Amino acid sequence: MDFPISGTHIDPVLLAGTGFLIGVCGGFFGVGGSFLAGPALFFFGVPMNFVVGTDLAHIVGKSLTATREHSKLGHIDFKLGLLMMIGTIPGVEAGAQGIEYFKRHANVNEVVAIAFIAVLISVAAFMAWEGIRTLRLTKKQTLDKANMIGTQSSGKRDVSALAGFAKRIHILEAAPMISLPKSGIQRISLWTILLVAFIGGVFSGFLGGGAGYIRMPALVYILGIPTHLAVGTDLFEVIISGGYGTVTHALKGNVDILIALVMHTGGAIGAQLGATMTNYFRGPRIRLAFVPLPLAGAALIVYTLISGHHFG
Amino acid sequence: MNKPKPQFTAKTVVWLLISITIYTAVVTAYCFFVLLYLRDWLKHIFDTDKALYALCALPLIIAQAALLECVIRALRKLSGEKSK
Repeated sequence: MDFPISGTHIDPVLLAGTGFLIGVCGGFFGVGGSFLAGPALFFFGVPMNFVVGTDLAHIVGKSLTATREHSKLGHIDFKLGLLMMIGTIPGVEAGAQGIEYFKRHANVNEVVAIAFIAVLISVAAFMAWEGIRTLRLTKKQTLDKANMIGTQSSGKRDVSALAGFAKRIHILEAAPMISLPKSGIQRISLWTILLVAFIGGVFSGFLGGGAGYIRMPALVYILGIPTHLAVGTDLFEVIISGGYGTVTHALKGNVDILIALVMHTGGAIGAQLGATMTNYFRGPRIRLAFVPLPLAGAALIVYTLISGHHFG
Repeated sequence: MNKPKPQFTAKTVVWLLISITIYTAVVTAYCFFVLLYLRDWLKHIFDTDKALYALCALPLIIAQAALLECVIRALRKLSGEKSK
């Protein structure tokens, strides 16, 4: 099927199937799946500026469905999500302006591809290290209170080898200080939340997708949000960043909405399946299972860049 | 408190597969009759009026999300009833 907006030709069944797989991953890990969607679209021959904008549009639709499921499960801190919006939107715009700069002055395909590879490998390495360390601590039963994220009042507790780091972030005094009772956080600086949101927005606007691969680890390790809440809250926040990102990139001519619509037909049902699966796994196992996916995405981009071959 | 995990029977699996088949048929028909119809119009406004294109892009994906969720919920209800 021809997609004349981006000038590509892609099998719609393959596109919808890719959307399904990405939807399952997105619903399960609380990320939009751009660590797979972006590389897959690039592999299918979509120019990188269209990859970025189209992926943003695609995840809006998918995240709406997944967010609804997580909301029913009580996995969303809406207060946190709305506060993050203040930082995310300027970040997305900054990232989108970066894409425009490279469209005019450099090869946007190569620049974005290399940035993607670096980010994906870094995220996979960090998640592997933290996940393995946490599982070892759990098995040795040396985990003490210091390694628990969230308090009893939140009703959601999780384990992390880096919980101590998040607690040190919480004691940083920079007014205004706010509380996030749903996430079990008594006091945290609003600036910390806005900084995390802004950085996530920049990644989202520059690399596409909701940047959940940055935002979700940041929610867990920097803000100290329990993993199940981080999954749902991240998906909620993706609707906001993705929505704004779709509009700004569409204005700049970087969105092929038809590709997004076709991918979403598979993603819609995949997201529902993925969200339900989170009830069956604990936090560290979810994070560890995430590790191969960004590596697969990085490998796909490397292959496409080096070989110059596109599928289809 | 741990929630009880759902029981997967052969009947559940059969109705899951039927639901996926129905969903696939619905989506295929949708792609043929809606997306192909919209393709030329979207290309036209993309080339001539980016602002209008941006105004249409987001509502389109949101509307599709709402539509597909209705379809999926109906199928889940159907397969839930039939697999009991």
